[in-house]
Parts: sequence; C-alpha cells; structure tokens
Amino acid sequence: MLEAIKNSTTELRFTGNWFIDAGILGFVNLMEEVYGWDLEKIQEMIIKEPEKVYYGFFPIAFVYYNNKLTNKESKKPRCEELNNILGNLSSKNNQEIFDKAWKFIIKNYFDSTKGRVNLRSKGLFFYFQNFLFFQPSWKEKKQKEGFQEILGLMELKSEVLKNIDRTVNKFLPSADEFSNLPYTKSFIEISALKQILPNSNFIFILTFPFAFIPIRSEKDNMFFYSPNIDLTYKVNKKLKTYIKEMEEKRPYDSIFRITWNAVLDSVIETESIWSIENMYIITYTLGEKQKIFNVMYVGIPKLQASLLVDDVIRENLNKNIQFRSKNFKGNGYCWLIEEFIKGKPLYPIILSHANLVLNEGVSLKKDISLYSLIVEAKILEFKTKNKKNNLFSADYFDNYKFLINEIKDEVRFTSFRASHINQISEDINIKKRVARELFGALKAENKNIFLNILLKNLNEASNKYSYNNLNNWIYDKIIETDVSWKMYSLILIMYLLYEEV
Amino acid sequence: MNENAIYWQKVVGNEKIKINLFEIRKAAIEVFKNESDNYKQKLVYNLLETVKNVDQSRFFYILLKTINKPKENFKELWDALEKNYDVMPEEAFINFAYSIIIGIMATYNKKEGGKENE
Repeated sequence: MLEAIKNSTTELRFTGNWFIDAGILGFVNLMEEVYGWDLEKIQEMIIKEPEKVYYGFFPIAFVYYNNKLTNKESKKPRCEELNNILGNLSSKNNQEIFDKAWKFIIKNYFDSTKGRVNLRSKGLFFYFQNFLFFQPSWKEKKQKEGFQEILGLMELKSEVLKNIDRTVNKFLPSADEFSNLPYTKSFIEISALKQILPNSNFIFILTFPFAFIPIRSEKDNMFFYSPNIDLTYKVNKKLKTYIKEMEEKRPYDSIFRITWNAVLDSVIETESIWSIENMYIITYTLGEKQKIFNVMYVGIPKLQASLLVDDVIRENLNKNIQFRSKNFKGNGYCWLIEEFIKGKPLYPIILSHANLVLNEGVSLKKDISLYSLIVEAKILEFKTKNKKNNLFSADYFDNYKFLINEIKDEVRFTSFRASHINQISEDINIKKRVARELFGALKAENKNIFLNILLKNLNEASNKYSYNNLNNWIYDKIIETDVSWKMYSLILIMYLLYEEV
Repeated sequence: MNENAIYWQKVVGNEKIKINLFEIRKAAIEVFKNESDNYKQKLVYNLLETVKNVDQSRFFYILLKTINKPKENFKELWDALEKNYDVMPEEAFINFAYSIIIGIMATYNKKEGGKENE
C-alpha cells in the first residue's frame, strides 16, 4: 500500500504479513463503506493521487465512520465536495492536504463542549479503548498530532507506536510475556516495519478491525486471508453476504463451509485458479478488557485447494458421512471437505464409517468413500515420491494438475478391478464374514494377516471364476505399496459389503 | 507403473537389499501356469500358512521342494530366486512371499492345452 506513496505508479499490494495485510484490506473496506469505491476504483485513485487518498480522504472517512456509530445524523463526506476542498492544491504537500482534511473534520465532527473531536471506542472501535486519540482526555491539538504520527507526517513520539506490541494489537505478543528477550521490546520493530512501509505510515493499525466480519455478534469476528489482495477482497465481500444470509436462514451452518463456498465461487467466477495460494481463515472473539480468545487460524494449503477446484473431486468430498454410532451424543457426521482442508487424514473417518456399515447396518456411501480414500492414497504416494524434491516443484506451479488426473484415472481403474471381489461368494453372509475378518486385520494395521485372509478366501474360491484383474490389482495396490495399502484394502472391504446394501 | 515400487529396499547393516517383486511375480506366473489348479490350490494354502507365521525357512522349504524338478520348466523362477533371495527382515519377506503367492494364483484357470477347471 505504502509503496504507492513513494512511487505513484505502484498500486495497493499485500506485504505477506497477514496482520499488516488485514490493515490494508480494512483500509479498502473503510473507503468502500464511506465513499463507495471498490478495490478497482481505489487502486485507480491511489495510482493517480495517493497523497489525497491517504492524507485527505482516509482521516475523514475514519472519523466519520466512528461518529456515525453514535450519531446517525453525522454529516457524510461526499467525494465531489472533498475533491473541491482537497483538490485545488498547487503543490502536493502531504501536510497541507492533511491540514485541509483536519479542518473538515473539525467543522463537522468537533464536540465543542469537550474541546475534542468526537472519537469513541464503541462497536467496531471497541478495540481502540484508550488508544491514542480515543482517550477522552486528549484534546483536539493532541488528537491531530496522534493522527499525524500514524500517517507518518510527524516524528514518532508516542511510546505505544514505538513498540508495536500487544498494546496496539491484541494479536501481537507483549513485551512482558517475553521477558527473556532483552534485545527488543516488541517483535515488530519500527526499523523493521520501515522496510515494508517506507513512509512510516501506520494506517494499518487503525484499519485492522475493518478487515474482520462480525459473525452473530459484534465480538465474534472472522477474516479470510490469502496473500493475493484481489482474491482476499472478493472472498471477504462474498462472505459478508453469505454470513448475513446464514444468520437469517441457517443459523447453525458452519462458518468453514460458508467460507469455502465463498472461496470457490470467487475462484470459479474469476477463473483465477492460479490465485489459490496459501489461504487462511482467522477467527477470534473479543472479550472483556479487549482480551481476545478463541483465536483460530485455519490454513488452506495449496495442494488441497488445487484438488478441490476440480468439480468431480469436490462434489464427492463435499458431503457429510456418518462416522459415529447413533448412540454418540453430538454430531455423528463428518463433513469431509473440512477435514481435508485442515490436512487431517480421511482414512480413519472412512474406516469408522465402514465399521458402522458392518456393525450397525448404516448404508454404505460407496462413491464418497472411494474418492476420499483414493485422494488420500494419491497424495501420500505423491508426497513419498517427492520427498527429496523442493516444495516449489513444477507440480506446485502447475496446480497439481497431473495429480487430479491420476486420482480420476485411479477411481475408474480401482472401481472396476476391486469390484471383482464381490464374486468371491454369492452368499451375503459369507461376504460379510470375510469383510469382518479383513476389517479386523486392517484395523490392527497388519498387512500380513490382511493378505493372508484375503488370499486364503480367494484361493478357496479359485475354481469358481477367473479374477485376473483383481489379482493384478491386489499385487499393484496392496502387496507392492507400503505407503497406501491401507486405503486400497479398505476399498476392497467396501466392495465386499457393497451389494448387500 | 511406478518403477520405484518394483523394488523393495531396506538397509541391513551396510548392505542394501534389493528385491524385484515384479520379476518374482512374473516368474511365478510363468512357471506355474502349466500345473493343475488343485495342486496349486494346496500349495498356495500351505505357503499362506507359513507366511502367516512369518516362518521364512518353512516357506522356502516348501517352495524349493516344489520347484526342485529338473525335468520340469522351473528355470525362470530359479533365476529370479537366485537374484533376489536373501535373508530378509519381516516386512521384506512378507512382500516377497505374497508376490510369489499372488503370482501362482494368477495362473488359475489358465492351464494351456489342458482341460478348463469346472
């Protein structure tokens, strides 16, 4: 963002630090809320007249937004009007622009009884209790100086800005908590920040909360983050609508599901599969005394995201599957996409599902299970094969397209070959018995016993049919591979159980 | 096929054991295809029992006794065994043994010139 001030041909850009980037997005959100500019328009404005945006439009928008929360009749600043006030400057003097803006602020949002600009830490600004100009004891002159410090128009005086730590933002560690680090008072030092933010412009501190979307109450907040500003902006915008819809219609829907819908919609809409980089969902609850709790960072790794962009794979994983007994108190179902994105293995869930099919007569979800297991097997095989390769391999930049193809081919191949196991007997009870024995061995992760039971039963039935396809498949998928044999074995058990449901 | 998967490797001491599972299975298919199914079925049953108990010496005793017939054509499997046999850790042995067993089983109903099994 602040590169733009230095070099007016540079547009608004993320820095890669989620905390600063949240501030940048918050800045965009605030400007959009007050002036109705979308990201594209803001980029245009910033390229054209960055000084006017940062030192003129921004402080006015910030103060107005704060006033609006307590006084609905606050004067809304209009673009044309501000352009007239700020626009006729002969030189592009930052201080001059800010002075004009401050004049506008005093004219419209000044509380003469208190001798200060009306700024309260209410609502969204709860976060800023006792922060700089929010303190009730700060009069107008001091408030102005505070703004100037943050905008980089004045040398930093306030202790709170010199050490950017917990006092500025509750997500940051506090110096007290890390007393064994005597070298620095905070982890984000001004000198380091200046490298990223060349004009010592700390707008992000003020706009940080605007990036978050309140869920259900003002204190529960969430924010979707990816290192790409366009995607982040689009997804968060969609999330706002989706969350509102959810609150009205489906109050028990999971935030995770909604976020993922928003991500996919944005990606598909903009056909920008390339933009799936590492993504995160950050949520927190704001409590008493500005303490934050329930903080959760959920990462969405690129590998998983790339696979889910594929329609067929996504549709098959975008399902709930029962994995706990009816008697289980609580949610007995699992939404596979959620587990998958969180990087948790799907195999144990499908194993539990198969257990329920065997013992509680739950109906088998064959296709979902098949896809889940093959996706997992292929990822495992891929990771083992590429152990020595760099993370940023050609596959990474190709969005793992070959892996998607491999998964689909394997599903076709395996569903054809493994289904032959069904011919082992015509008697459902025999098949069920075999399935139960195999399941026991698989649960114990004993490959030897699993194969022994399997081959013994096939051997006994050897006269009845020829099962060359199955024979090759067992060799390829179970005997030869030590990495993913469990997944394929479970598929085999599922095909044994399939016909009877 | 993933060529890495053909080999089973494990370092024992400083030696690397390298087993070509694919070759072993192929040899088993080749040499057992002309044997009768009933005979193979019993053989497979016996071999499975030994693997179940992870009894390497018994496994090789049965296997070698079976193919110790100079007048019959077991040469391909002899060669494969000569190349790949070693004293194996349990994991390797299991993969090795099942490759042979599943190779034998792949030849059911395949007897050339013979009567198809009922």
